[in-house]
Amino acid sequence: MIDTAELDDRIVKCEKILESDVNSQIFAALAEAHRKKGDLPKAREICQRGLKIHPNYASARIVMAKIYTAEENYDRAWEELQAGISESGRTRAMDILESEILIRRGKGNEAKAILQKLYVANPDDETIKGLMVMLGEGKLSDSSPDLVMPRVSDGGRILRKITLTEAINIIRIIPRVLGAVAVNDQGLVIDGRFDGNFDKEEVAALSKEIFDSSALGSAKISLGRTSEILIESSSMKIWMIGRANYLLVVITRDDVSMGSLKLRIDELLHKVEHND
Amino acid sequence: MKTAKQNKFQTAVEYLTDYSGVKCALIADSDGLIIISSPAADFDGELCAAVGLDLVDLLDKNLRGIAESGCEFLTVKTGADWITIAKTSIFYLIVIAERKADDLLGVRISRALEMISSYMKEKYPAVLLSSEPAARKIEKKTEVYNV
Repeated sequence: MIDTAELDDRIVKCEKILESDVNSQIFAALAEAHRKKGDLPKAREICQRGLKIHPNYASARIVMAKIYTAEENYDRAWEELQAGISESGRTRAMDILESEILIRRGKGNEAKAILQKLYVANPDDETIKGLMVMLGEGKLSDSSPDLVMPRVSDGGRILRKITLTEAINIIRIIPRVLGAVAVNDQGLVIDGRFDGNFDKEEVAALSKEIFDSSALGSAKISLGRTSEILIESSSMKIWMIGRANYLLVVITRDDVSMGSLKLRIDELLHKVEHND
Repeated sequence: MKTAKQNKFQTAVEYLTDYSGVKCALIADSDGLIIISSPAADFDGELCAAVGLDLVDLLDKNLRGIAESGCEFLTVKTGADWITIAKTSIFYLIVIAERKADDLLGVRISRALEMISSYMKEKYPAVLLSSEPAARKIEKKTEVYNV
Protein backbone atom coordinates (compact mmCIF):
# COMPACT_ATOMS: atom_id res chain seq x y z
CA MET A 1 0.00 0.00 0.00
CA ILE A 2 1.28 3.49 -0.80
CA ASP A 3 2.08 5.12 2.48
CA THR A 4 1.21 8.61 1.39
CA ALA A 5 -0.04 9.39 4.89
CA GLU A 6 3.48 8.90 6.22
CA LEU A 7 4.92 11.04 3.44
CA ASP A 8 2.32 13.74 4.03
CA ASP A 9 3.14 13.67 7.72
CA ARG A 10 6.83 14.00 6.91
CA ILE A 11 6.11 16.91 4.56
CA VAL A 12 4.10 18.73 7.24
CA LYS A 13 6.87 18.26 9.81
CA CYS A 14 9.59 19.39 7.40
CA GLU A 15 7.57 22.44 6.35
CA LYS A 16 7.08 23.44 10.00
CA ILE A 17 10.82 23.24 10.63
CA LEU A 18 11.52 25.19 7.45
CA GLU A 19 8.97 27.85 8.42
CA SER A 20 10.66 28.37 11.77
CA ASP A 21 14.12 28.38 10.20
CA VAL A 22 14.30 29.23 6.51
CA ASN A 23 18.01 28.33 6.50
CA SER A 24 17.42 24.79 7.77
CA GLN A 25 18.90 21.90 5.82
CA ILE A 26 15.59 20.07 6.23
CA PHE A 27 14.72 21.25 2.70
CA ALA A 28 16.50 18.16 1.32
CA ALA A 29 14.23 15.81 3.29
CA LEU A 30 11.21 17.86 2.21
CA ALA A 31 12.24 17.65 -1.45
CA GLU A 32 12.87 13.90 -1.11
CA ALA A 33 9.37 13.40 0.35
CA HIS A 34 7.84 15.28 -2.58
CA ARG A 35 9.95 13.22 -5.00
CA LYS A 36 8.72 10.01 -3.42
CA LYS A 37 5.16 11.25 -3.76
CA GLY A 38 5.83 11.83 -7.45
CA ASP A 39 5.59 15.63 -7.35
CA LEU A 40 8.85 16.22 -9.20
CA PRO A 41 8.38 19.92 -10.08
CA LYS A 42 7.76 20.78 -6.43
CA ALA A 43 10.65 18.61 -5.27
CA ARG A 44 12.97 20.27 -7.79
CA GLU A 45 11.87 23.77 -6.82
CA ILE A 46 12.39 23.15 -3.08
CA CYS A 47 15.75 21.48 -3.60
CA GLN A 48 17.05 24.16 -5.98
CA ARG A 49 15.98 26.91 -3.59
CA GLY A 50 17.68 25.17 -0.67
CA LEU A 51 20.87 24.56 -2.63
CA LYS A 52 21.19 28.29 -3.24
CA ILE A 53 21.58 28.67 0.53
CA HIS A 54 23.55 25.42 1.09
CA PRO A 55 25.47 24.75 -2.13
CA ASN A 56 27.87 22.36 -0.37
CA TYR A 57 25.19 20.15 1.17
CA ALA A 58 25.97 16.76 -0.41
CA SER A 59 22.71 15.03 0.60
CA ALA A 60 20.71 17.70 -1.22
CA ARG A 61 22.85 17.20 -4.32
CA ILE A 62 21.97 13.51 -4.22
CA VAL A 63 18.27 14.30 -3.87
CA MET A 64 18.62 16.66 -6.83
CA ALA A 65 20.33 13.90 -8.84
CA LYS A 66 17.46 11.53 -8.06
CA ILE A 67 14.90 14.14 -9.13
CA TYR A 68 16.71 14.74 -12.44
CA THR A 69 16.99 10.97 -12.97
CA ALA A 70 13.24 10.59 -12.48
CA GLU A 71 12.76 13.42 -14.98
CA GLU A 72 15.07 11.58 -17.39
CA ASN A 73 17.44 14.56 -17.43
CA TYR A 74 20.51 12.35 -17.03
CA ASP A 75 23.14 14.99 -17.82
CA ARG A 76 21.94 17.25 -15.02
CA ALA A 77 21.56 14.21 -12.74
CA TRP A 78 25.19 13.34 -13.44
CA GLU A 79 26.38 16.88 -12.60
CA GLU A 80 24.49 16.90 -9.31
CA LEU A 81 25.71 13.45 -8.33
CA GLN A 82 29.33 14.35 -9.04
CA ALA A 83 28.94 17.54 -7.00
CA GLY A 84 27.60 15.44 -4.12
CA ILE A 85 30.43 12.91 -4.38
CA SER A 86 33.07 15.63 -4.42
CA GLU A 87 31.56 17.17 -1.28
CA SER A 88 31.22 14.07 0.89
CA GLY A 89 32.92 11.13 -0.81
CA ARG A 90 31.29 7.97 -2.10
CA THR A 91 28.64 5.80 -0.47
CA ARG A 92 27.03 2.59 -1.74
CA ALA A 93 23.81 4.48 -2.56
CA MET A 94 25.80 6.99 -4.60
CA ASP A 95 27.55 4.17 -6.49
CA ILE A 96 24.21 2.57 -7.33
CA LEU A 97 22.77 5.87 -8.52
CA GLU A 98 25.93 6.60 -10.50
CA SER A 99 25.79 3.23 -12.28
CA GLU A 100 22.12 3.76 -13.14
CA ILE A 101 22.81 7.21 -14.60
CA LEU A 102 25.79 5.82 -16.55
CA ILE A 103 23.63 3.06 -18.03
CA ARG A 104 20.94 5.53 -18.99
CA ARG A 105 23.57 7.77 -20.61
CA GLY A 106 24.80 4.79 -22.66
CA LYS A 107 28.10 4.37 -20.80
CA GLY A 108 27.86 0.66 -20.11
CA ASN A 109 31.55 -0.07 -19.57
CA GLU A 110 31.89 2.56 -16.87
CA ALA A 111 28.70 1.31 -15.20
CA LYS A 112 29.98 -2.26 -15.40
CA ALA A 113 33.12 -1.48 -13.40
CA ILE A 114 31.06 0.03 -10.57
CA LEU A 115 28.38 -2.66 -10.65
CA GLN A 116 30.87 -5.51 -10.49
CA LYS A 117 32.36 -4.11 -7.28
CA LEU A 118 28.90 -3.54 -5.85
CA TYR A 119 27.79 -7.05 -6.78
CA VAL A 120 30.78 -8.69 -5.10
CA ALA A 121 30.00 -6.85 -1.87
CA ASN A 122 26.19 -7.24 -2.13
CA PRO A 123 25.32 -10.31 -4.25
CA ASP A 124 21.70 -10.40 -3.01
CA ASP A 125 20.88 -6.75 -3.62
CA GLU A 126 17.92 -6.71 -6.03
CA THR A 127 18.61 -3.17 -7.26
CA ILE A 128 22.16 -4.11 -8.21
CA LYS A 129 20.95 -7.29 -9.91
CA GLY A 130 18.33 -5.31 -11.81
CA LEU A 131 20.94 -2.82 -13.01
CA MET A 132 23.21 -5.67 -14.12
CA VAL A 133 20.39 -7.19 -16.12
CA MET A 134 19.58 -3.78 -17.58
CA LEU A 135 23.24 -3.38 -18.51
CA GLY A 136 23.28 -6.77 -20.21
CA GLU A 137 20.09 -6.07 -22.12
CA GLY A 138 22.08 -5.35 -25.30
CA LYS A 139 20.68 -1.87 -25.85
CA LEU A 140 23.96 -0.21 -25.04
CA SER A 141 26.70 0.34 -27.55
CA ASP A 142 29.47 -0.68 -25.16
CA SER A 143 27.71 -3.20 -22.94
CA SER A 144 29.88 -5.68 -21.19
CA PRO A 145 30.24 -9.12 -22.81
CA ASP A 146 30.67 -10.87 -19.45
CA LEU A 147 27.33 -9.54 -18.25
CA VAL A 148 25.44 -10.62 -21.35
CA MET A 149 23.24 -13.70 -20.93
CA PRO A 150 23.04 -16.68 -23.34
CA ARG A 151 21.38 -15.93 -26.67
CA VAL A 152 18.98 -17.81 -28.89
CA SER A 153 18.21 -17.30 -32.54
CA ASP A 154 14.67 -16.45 -33.64
CA GLY A 155 14.32 -16.45 -37.42
CA GLY A 156 17.60 -14.67 -37.91
CA ARG A 157 16.85 -12.18 -35.12
CA ILE A 158 19.07 -12.58 -32.11
CA LEU A 159 17.22 -12.68 -28.83
CA ARG A 160 18.65 -12.93 -25.37
CA LYS A 161 16.82 -15.28 -23.06
CA ILE A 162 15.89 -13.84 -19.71
CA THR A 163 14.04 -15.21 -16.73
CA LEU A 164 10.80 -13.81 -15.37
CA THR A 165 12.72 -12.57 -12.32
CA GLU A 166 15.15 -10.67 -14.55
CA ALA A 167 12.26 -9.18 -16.52
CA ILE A 168 10.63 -8.00 -13.29
CA ASN A 169 13.92 -6.51 -12.12
CA ILE A 170 14.15 -4.54 -15.37
CA ILE A 171 10.51 -3.46 -15.28
CA ARG A 172 10.99 -2.19 -11.73
CA ILE A 173 13.68 0.27 -12.77
CA ILE A 174 11.83 1.71 -15.75
CA PRO A 175 11.13 5.38 -14.95
CA ARG A 176 7.76 5.96 -13.25
CA VAL A 177 7.24 2.24 -12.56
CA LEU A 178 6.56 1.61 -8.88
CA GLY A 179 6.80 -2.14 -9.05
CA ALA A 180 5.76 -5.36 -10.74
CA VAL A 181 4.63 -8.78 -9.59
CA ALA A 182 3.96 -12.06 -11.39
CA VAL A 183 1.02 -13.96 -9.93
CA ASN A 184 0.12 -17.64 -10.35
CA ASP A 185 -3.33 -19.23 -10.80
CA GLN A 186 -3.90 -19.31 -7.06
CA GLY A 187 -3.18 -15.60 -6.63
CA LEU A 188 0.21 -16.28 -5.06
CA VAL A 189 3.39 -14.38 -5.84
CA ILE A 190 5.75 -16.07 -8.30
CA ASP A 191 8.14 -13.14 -8.10
CA GLY A 192 7.79 -9.45 -7.56
CA ARG A 193 9.56 -6.22 -6.74
CA PHE A 194 8.04 -3.13 -5.25
CA ASP A 195 9.40 -0.29 -3.24
CA GLY A 196 8.60 -0.29 0.46
CA ASN A 197 5.15 1.20 -0.03
CA PHE A 198 3.48 -1.90 -1.46
CA ASP A 199 2.84 -5.35 -0.12
CA LYS A 200 3.37 -7.63 -3.12
CA GLU A 201 1.33 -10.47 -1.58
CA GLU A 202 -1.61 -8.11 -1.17
CA VAL A 203 -1.22 -6.69 -4.70
CA ALA A 204 -1.05 -10.24 -6.11
CA ALA A 205 -4.17 -11.47 -4.32
CA LEU A 206 -6.25 -8.38 -5.12
CA SER A 207 -5.13 -8.31 -8.76
CA LYS A 208 -5.99 -11.95 -9.27
CA GLU A 209 -9.47 -11.37 -7.84
CA ILE A 210 -9.99 -8.32 -10.07
CA PHE A 211 -8.75 -10.16 -13.17
CA ASP A 212 -10.96 -13.20 -12.51
CA SER A 213 -14.02 -11.02 -11.88
CA SER A 214 -13.36 -9.13 -15.09
CA ALA A 215 -13.04 -12.38 -17.00
CA LEU A 216 -16.41 -13.47 -15.61
CA GLY A 217 -17.99 -10.12 -16.55
CA SER A 218 -16.51 -10.17 -20.07
CA ALA A 219 -17.93 -13.64 -20.61
CA LYS A 220 -21.40 -12.47 -19.49
CA ILE A 221 -21.47 -9.82 -22.22
CA SER A 222 -19.88 -12.15 -24.78
CA LEU A 223 -16.64 -10.23 -25.05
CA GLY A 224 -14.37 -13.26 -24.86
CA ARG A 225 -11.41 -14.02 -22.64
CA THR A 226 -9.86 -11.07 -20.79
CA SER A 227 -6.26 -10.51 -21.78
CA GLU A 228 -5.41 -7.15 -20.22
CA ILE A 229 -6.83 -4.73 -17.71
CA LEU A 230 -5.72 -1.14 -17.17
CA ILE A 231 -7.02 0.64 -14.10
CA GLU A 232 -6.37 4.34 -13.68
CA SER A 233 -6.83 6.17 -10.41
CA SER A 234 -5.89 9.75 -9.64
CA SER A 235 -2.39 8.78 -8.52
CA MET A 236 -1.43 5.59 -10.31
CA LYS A 237 -2.06 3.09 -13.04
CA ILE A 238 -2.37 -0.65 -12.49
CA TRP A 239 -1.80 -2.73 -15.58
CA MET A 240 -2.60 -6.45 -15.50
CA ILE A 241 -1.38 -8.59 -18.37
CA GLY A 242 -2.66 -12.16 -18.64
CA ARG A 243 -0.07 -14.64 -19.92
CA ALA A 244 -0.34 -18.40 -20.36
CA ASN A 245 1.23 -19.31 -17.00
CA TYR A 246 0.96 -16.16 -14.94
CA LEU A 247 -0.61 -12.75 -14.52
CA LEU A 248 1.85 -9.85 -14.63
CA VAL A 249 0.80 -6.80 -12.61
CA VAL A 250 2.68 -3.54 -13.14
CA ILE A 251 1.96 -0.50 -10.99
CA THR A 252 3.10 2.90 -12.25
CA ARG A 253 2.72 6.55 -11.44
CA ASP A 254 -0.20 8.17 -13.25
CA ASP A 255 2.09 10.16 -15.58
CA VAL A 256 3.80 7.13 -17.15
CA SER A 257 3.80 6.89 -20.95
CA MET A 258 1.76 3.75 -21.56
CA GLY A 259 2.84 3.43 -25.20
CA SER A 260 6.53 3.32 -24.36
CA LEU A 261 5.96 1.07 -21.33
CA LYS A 262 3.91 -1.35 -23.43
CA LEU A 263 6.69 -1.64 -26.01
CA ARG A 264 9.31 -2.39 -23.36
CA ILE A 265 7.18 -4.89 -21.48
CA ASP A 266 6.10 -6.68 -24.67
CA GLU A 267 9.76 -7.05 -25.62
CA LEU A 268 10.73 -8.35 -22.19
CA LEU A 269 7.88 -10.84 -22.00
CA HIS A 270 8.75 -12.07 -25.47
CA LYS A 271 12.28 -12.77 -24.23
CA VAL A 272 10.94 -14.50 -21.13
CA GLU A 273 8.70 -16.73 -23.21
CA HIS A 274 11.68 -17.75 -25.35
CA ASN A 275 13.25 -18.92 -22.13
CA ASP A 276 10.31 -21.16 -21.10
CA MET B 1 -38.85 14.70 -28.96
CA LYS B 2 -35.47 14.61 -27.26
CA THR B 3 -34.67 17.03 -24.48
CA ALA B 4 -31.68 19.35 -24.70
CA LYS B 5 -29.90 17.20 -22.09
CA GLN B 6 -30.41 14.05 -24.15
CA ASN B 7 -29.21 15.85 -27.26
CA LYS B 8 -25.95 16.91 -25.64
CA PHE B 9 -25.32 13.46 -24.24
CA GLN B 10 -26.33 11.97 -27.58
CA THR B 11 -23.72 14.14 -29.29
CA ALA B 12 -21.06 12.75 -26.96
CA VAL B 13 -21.92 9.08 -27.53
CA GLU B 14 -22.37 9.52 -31.28
CA TYR B 15 -19.00 11.25 -31.45
CA LEU B 16 -17.60 7.96 -30.15
CA THR B 17 -19.59 5.57 -32.31
CA ASP B 18 -18.59 7.61 -35.39
CA TYR B 19 -15.07 6.33 -34.79
CA SER B 20 -13.99 3.24 -36.68
CA GLY B 21 -14.20 0.07 -34.59
CA VAL B 22 -16.51 1.44 -31.87
CA LYS B 23 -19.45 -0.89 -31.36
CA CYS B 24 -21.34 0.92 -28.66
CA ALA B 25 -21.10 3.93 -26.35
CA LEU B 26 -23.45 4.63 -23.49
CA ILE B 27 -23.89 6.82 -20.47
CA ALA B 28 -25.28 5.18 -17.35
CA ASP B 29 -25.90 6.33 -13.82
CA SER B 30 -24.38 4.67 -10.77
CA ASP B 31 -27.27 2.18 -10.61
CA GLY B 32 -26.60 1.03 -14.16
CA LEU B 33 -29.62 2.83 -15.56
CA ILE B 34 -28.89 3.89 -19.12
CA ILE B 35 -29.27 7.61 -19.75
CA ILE B 36 -28.40 7.40 -23.43
CA SER B 37 -26.72 4.97 -25.77
CA SER B 38 -25.54 4.76 -29.34
CA PRO B 39 -26.48 2.71 -31.24
CA ALA B 40 -29.83 2.45 -29.47
CA ALA B 41 -30.83 -1.13 -30.28
CA ASP B 42 -27.91 -3.21 -31.59
CA PHE B 43 -26.29 -3.98 -28.28
CA ASP B 44 -27.46 -5.16 -24.88
CA GLY B 45 -26.43 -1.94 -23.20
CA GLU B 46 -28.23 -2.67 -19.93
CA LEU B 47 -26.37 -5.91 -19.37
CA CYS B 48 -23.15 -4.25 -20.37
CA ALA B 49 -23.70 -1.34 -17.95
CA ALA B 50 -24.64 -3.72 -15.15
CA VAL B 51 -21.56 -5.89 -15.63
CA GLY B 52 -19.26 -2.90 -16.11
CA LEU B 53 -20.46 -1.11 -13.01
CA ASP B 54 -20.25 -4.32 -10.95
CA LEU B 55 -16.62 -4.46 -11.94
CA VAL B 56 -16.01 -0.81 -11.07
CA ASP B 57 -17.66 -1.42 -7.70
CA LEU B 58 -15.38 -4.39 -7.06
CA LEU B 59 -12.37 -2.33 -8.10
CA ASP B 60 -13.30 0.53 -5.82
CA LYS B 61 -13.48 -1.90 -2.90
CA ASN B 62 -10.28 -3.73 -3.77
CA LEU B 63 -8.25 -0.71 -4.78
CA ARG B 64 -8.44 0.62 -1.24
CA GLY B 65 -5.84 -2.03 -0.47
CA ILE B 66 -3.48 -0.69 -3.13
CA ALA B 67 -4.27 2.93 -3.97
CA GLU B 68 -5.60 5.76 -1.89
CA SER B 69 -8.31 6.58 -4.42
CA GLY B 70 -10.83 4.58 -6.40
CA CYS B 71 -10.92 3.63 -10.06
CA GLU B 72 -11.53 6.52 -12.46
CA PHE B 73 -10.75 4.85 -15.78
CA LEU B 74 -10.93 1.15 -16.48
CA THR B 75 -9.93 -0.54 -19.72
CA VAL B 76 -10.46 -4.27 -20.21
CA LYS B 77 -9.06 -5.89 -23.35
CA THR B 78 -10.14 -9.28 -24.58
CA GLY B 79 -9.01 -11.18 -27.66
CA ALA B 80 -11.42 -9.32 -29.93
CA ASP B 81 -12.72 -6.29 -28.04
CA TRP B 82 -11.97 -3.65 -25.51
CA ILE B 83 -14.24 -1.98 -23.04
CA THR B 84 -13.57 1.34 -21.35
CA ILE B 85 -15.49 2.56 -18.33
CA ALA B 86 -14.86 6.13 -17.20
CA LYS B 87 -16.36 7.99 -14.30
CA THR B 88 -17.58 11.47 -15.01
CA SER B 89 -19.33 13.50 -12.32
CA ILE B 90 -22.34 11.36 -11.37
CA PHE B 91 -22.38 9.25 -14.52
CA TYR B 92 -20.32 6.54 -16.20
CA LEU B 93 -19.32 6.53 -19.83
CA ILE B 94 -18.98 3.00 -21.21
CA VAL B 95 -17.43 2.36 -24.61
CA ILE B 96 -17.13 -1.01 -26.33
CA ALA B 97 -14.83 -1.21 -29.33
CA GLU B 98 -13.13 -3.80 -31.46
CA ARG B 99 -9.63 -4.65 -30.26
CA LYS B 100 -8.28 -3.42 -33.59
CA ALA B 101 -9.54 0.14 -32.92
CA ASP B 102 -6.41 2.24 -32.52
CA ASP B 103 -5.28 3.87 -29.32
CA LEU B 104 -6.42 7.30 -30.56
CA LEU B 105 -9.85 6.21 -29.44
CA GLY B 106 -8.58 7.22 -26.01
CA VAL B 107 -8.44 10.82 -27.21
CA ARG B 108 -12.05 10.61 -28.40
CA ILE B 109 -13.10 9.18 -25.06
CA SER B 110 -11.43 12.10 -23.30
CA ARG B 111 -13.18 14.57 -25.59
CA ALA B 112 -16.54 12.87 -25.00
CA LEU B 113 -15.93 13.06 -21.25
CA GLU B 114 -15.18 16.75 -21.61
CA MET B 115 -18.46 17.24 -23.47
CA ILE B 116 -20.38 15.44 -20.73
CA SER B 117 -18.49 17.21 -17.98
CA SER B 118 -18.89 20.71 -19.45
CA TYR B 119 -22.58 20.14 -19.99
CA MET B 120 -22.99 18.91 -16.44
CA LYS B 121 -20.96 21.84 -15.13
CA GLU B 122 -23.13 24.26 -17.04
CA LYS B 123 -26.36 22.60 -16.05
CA TYR B 124 -25.68 21.23 -12.57
CA PRO B 125 -22.64 23.02 -11.09
CA ALA B 126 -23.42 21.96 -7.50
CA VAL B 127 -23.37 18.29 -8.44
CA LEU B 128 -19.97 18.64 -10.06
CA LEU B 129 -18.54 20.45 -7.09
CA SER B 130 -19.13 17.34 -5.03
CA SER B 131 -17.13 15.20 -7.44
CA GLU B 132 -14.29 17.54 -8.26
CA PRO B 133 -11.57 14.83 -8.49
CA ALA B 134 -13.27 13.17 -11.47
CA ALA B 135 -13.49 16.47 -13.31
CA ARG B 136 -9.84 17.19 -12.53
CA LYS B 137 -8.84 13.81 -13.90
CA ILE B 138 -10.60 14.51 -17.20
CA GLU B 139 -8.79 17.83 -17.51
CA LYS B 140 -5.48 16.15 -16.64
CA LYS B 141 -5.99 13.33 -19.17
CA THR B 142 -6.84 15.81 -21.87
CA GLU B 143 -3.67 17.74 -21.15
CA VAL B 144 -1.63 14.55 -21.48
CA TYR B 145 -3.23 13.65 -24.79
CA ASN B 146 -2.73 17.17 -26.12
CA VAL B 147 1.04 17.18 -25.51
